[in-house]
Amino acid sequence: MNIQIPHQWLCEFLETKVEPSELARLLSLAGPSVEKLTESEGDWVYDLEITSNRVDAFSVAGVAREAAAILRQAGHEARFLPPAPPPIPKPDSRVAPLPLPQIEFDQKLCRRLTCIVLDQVQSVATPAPLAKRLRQVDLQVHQATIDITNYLCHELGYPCHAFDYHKLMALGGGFRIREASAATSVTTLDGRHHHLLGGEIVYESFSGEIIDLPSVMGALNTAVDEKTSAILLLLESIEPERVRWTSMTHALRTTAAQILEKEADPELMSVVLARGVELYQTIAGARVASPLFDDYPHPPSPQAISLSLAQLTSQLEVELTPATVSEILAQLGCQVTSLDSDKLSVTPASFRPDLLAPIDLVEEIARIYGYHNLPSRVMATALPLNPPSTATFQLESQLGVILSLLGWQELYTYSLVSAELAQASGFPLEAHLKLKNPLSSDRLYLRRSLLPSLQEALAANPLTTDLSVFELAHLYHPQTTGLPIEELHLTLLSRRDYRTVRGDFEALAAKLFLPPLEIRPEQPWANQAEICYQTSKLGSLGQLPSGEIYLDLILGEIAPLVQTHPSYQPLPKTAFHRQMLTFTLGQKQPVGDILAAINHFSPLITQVTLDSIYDLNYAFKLEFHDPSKNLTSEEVEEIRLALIQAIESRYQAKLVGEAGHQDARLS
Amino acid sequence: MTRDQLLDAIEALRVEFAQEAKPLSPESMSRYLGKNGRLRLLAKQLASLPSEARQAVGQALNQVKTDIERTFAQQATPEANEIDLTLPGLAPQLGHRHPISQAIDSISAIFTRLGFVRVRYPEVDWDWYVFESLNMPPTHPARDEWETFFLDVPDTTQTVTYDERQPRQRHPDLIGGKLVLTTHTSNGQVREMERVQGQPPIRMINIARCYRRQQDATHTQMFHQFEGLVIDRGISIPHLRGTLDYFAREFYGPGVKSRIRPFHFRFTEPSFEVDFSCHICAGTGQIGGEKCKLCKAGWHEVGGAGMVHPNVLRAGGIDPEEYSGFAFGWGVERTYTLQPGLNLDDIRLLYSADLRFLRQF
Repeated sequence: MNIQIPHQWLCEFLETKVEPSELARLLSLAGPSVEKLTESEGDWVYDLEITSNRVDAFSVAGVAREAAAILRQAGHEARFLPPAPPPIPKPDSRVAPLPLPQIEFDQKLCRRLTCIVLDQVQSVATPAPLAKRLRQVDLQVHQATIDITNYLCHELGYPCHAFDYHKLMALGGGFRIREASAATSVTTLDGRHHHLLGGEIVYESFSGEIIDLPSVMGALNTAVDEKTSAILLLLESIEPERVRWTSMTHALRTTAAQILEKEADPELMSVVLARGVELYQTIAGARVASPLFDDYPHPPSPQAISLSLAQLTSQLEVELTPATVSEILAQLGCQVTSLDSDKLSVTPASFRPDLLAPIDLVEEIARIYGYHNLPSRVMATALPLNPPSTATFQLESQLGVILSLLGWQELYTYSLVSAELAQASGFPLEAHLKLKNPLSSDRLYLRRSLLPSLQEALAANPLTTDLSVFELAHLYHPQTTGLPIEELHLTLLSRRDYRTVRGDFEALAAKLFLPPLEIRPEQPWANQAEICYQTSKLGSLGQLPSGEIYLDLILGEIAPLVQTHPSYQPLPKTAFHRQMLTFTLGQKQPVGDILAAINHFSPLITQVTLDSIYDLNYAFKLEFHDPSKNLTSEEVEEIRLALIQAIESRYQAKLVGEAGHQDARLS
Repeated sequence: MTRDQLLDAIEALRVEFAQEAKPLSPESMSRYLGKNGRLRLLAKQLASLPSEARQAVGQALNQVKTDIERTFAQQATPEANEIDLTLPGLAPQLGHRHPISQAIDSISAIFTRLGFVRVRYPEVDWDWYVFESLNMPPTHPARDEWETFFLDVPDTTQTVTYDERQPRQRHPDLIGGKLVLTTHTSNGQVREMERVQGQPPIRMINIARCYRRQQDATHTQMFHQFEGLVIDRGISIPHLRGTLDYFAREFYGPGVKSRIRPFHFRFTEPSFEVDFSCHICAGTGQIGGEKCKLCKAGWHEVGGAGMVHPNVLRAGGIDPEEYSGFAFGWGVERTYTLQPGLNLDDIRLLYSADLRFLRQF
């Protein structure tokens, strides 16, 4: 929550000569962060962020208390001037007394309720100095009767509500605090009509009308207007969770609700009411017309916390004197007594319900001392020696580096996809995990394939004809019970041809020292094949109907096969022979079969690769080698001729050129 | 001649040859390389050396001979060796690693040097790990700040009375829960404590995709966070400061410092906001008398941190009386975009497939 505070207003509760810019710097270092310091109507205005646990600081006085503690610790002279309005006077004898409305209090729903009737309230313009402050903090200026409540809340941090007394009394002369029943409704001050769900805490008049959503917003039927002559000024402490629920359910996120849904201090109500009476008297000529109503059955009694100075020193690695520690805590409103040389007994103020344990006190001492003043050093403690056994982070990084060097562009696309992309995964839409509260329809399902996202990426770049992209990300497979399975996939999609993509895959496999993998199509000519190692399926590859080539690998399956180094093979001492054989093959003759046949034909054929393709002519490069002796040309020729004969007869292939000698001996 | 004398003579010959007038004359060729040339004469001296000295002198002599021969050969065919050195290069088809991957690698490497172990935990997780075990009871307003996406699956939570000091009573193994997309990597905190079976030391770095219901120039529905968690005996605020300073220096360069300021998170106590000093204005907030446009008074706000709350340690089965720890976490994208000179102000581009953007990295 942010609050704006003019410097001069702050100085009504803070005695200091420190310049606003320095004050802003020191506050940001040790207290609420000053996000902006701007000039407005001749004064500096701080824009502060107050964290949700510090509702006590969400006011001019609250920030002043923080500032005093921080400035003093930073070596400046400063003093907090607590709000001290005059006590509420007895009913004014100059006006006829007005009875308090009858209030049926329910202590289960409300911790405290206090109110008073003020008569002879004049509808006057808000005085210029107050109006200026309200403008400086971006609050609208209406008329004094209304503005005083906003001013009070900003100054002291506890919301109050002014009812039109006569309107309220006309509705049965009183009200009860109760839970709303369903199907009732209320029109709030802003003119909006709300159908209540039941369970909201309301003030219901004895005539059965809802006159307030307490701590959230008042009702129109008892609103103050220009004709109002008497008001009921009221403060309450309603169960915070209900305040929040009502405010959220009916989208009424008022400042009052945002304060009172937190642990605002009911002790503060007396001071705020007294200050309110003072302002209505001095500004609107009001006179107290009733006794004070105050139902407060169980005031809180903050518990003392025992603080060990030794523990403090070990947390901060700075030794602070007991006097310094006591001074810091006292400035923050705590009562401190020394128990022994190590222990202090600290009782936090009622406005600090966030201080419950020693660690909370350590935080307060450390921040006011200044986190920036603490030492900085890396811990010299034991190292963990048990990383998760399934970690693949190094492999993931390696894959990214290799693929990018091979010309592939890495993408990060959204895990959440539209219904259209989800369906393109091949799984039915209902077999996807769906968001209950999506922000947009294009991010609705958790994806079960990366391919549709990559296709979308390719489509977004129609002019890059050889584009190849990849992504490493999770797929999310729902389970009947429990968490979904998150499966890490590496998926590649390319506009380049199949041989190029497969070549890149083979290069990748080589760099990772993977064992020979098998590409298993259902039939030789198909648009999809599985990538396998022995009985494990590692992924798939194929061609999409749009012509793009894809490859999809399951990282958890690949990872166990990856090696950091090869098994060293002794360097050959005998010569290699290399030859090229070109065959004309029949239509749709799978080349893989020919390669396998050549490979298995003789143990002396140590390598065969497809060199080039021209129409139906396929050129194969063969390597002959015997590690035990140098092969002669005649021995090679013998194998070669037999191989040609076998391929020609088995596959109806035809050798291109002469079957004669084509030796090319290499080292 | 001794070994050293011979080496000196070889060096003298090299110097003398280098000073020969260019172009070299046929006479000079025979003077150096001829039958009775200088090199041959020196070679003859080798025989008189003891065998152990011959190798070094022989190598020196061979080197000089090779250089002299190459010089004569280049002079004989000067044009054969010439190329158009003004030709531009032929670019290989290079791909690009995504900037987020590059950032994740750098971040991981920095923390690995400090002995952190990288882990991975679910992106779709029980609300218990995302909120409740982190000291955020059900219906607590703090949960609102996280803009959570919920999965459309039955909520299996069974109602039990909440006891703040006994968070493990509400573990999903016992009472089920709601499935959410992780709003932060902090769900890894209690999971990591469980992985080590409540036995520190823990030095964890968890980098993962996170999700929040928000979208504008500085927020995307999906983003990446990294989370650090250290737990051991005697872990203190200065240790957190030291770790943050180390990261700032390593990631952004020498001279960059960290700063922690008070903040509030339910799962840390104390809690901090983490700033890094601005590398553009060297932390002064001023450039040439003007206000630095990239930072706030010399500092960049990057994320949150704090000392692990005792209730979180309890939820992970660790005794807060014996152990303490710190945690920090912030966006990978934000951290990356603060790199000097990057000037990237719309992080949505990171999740686009726009090659004009991606190919710059």
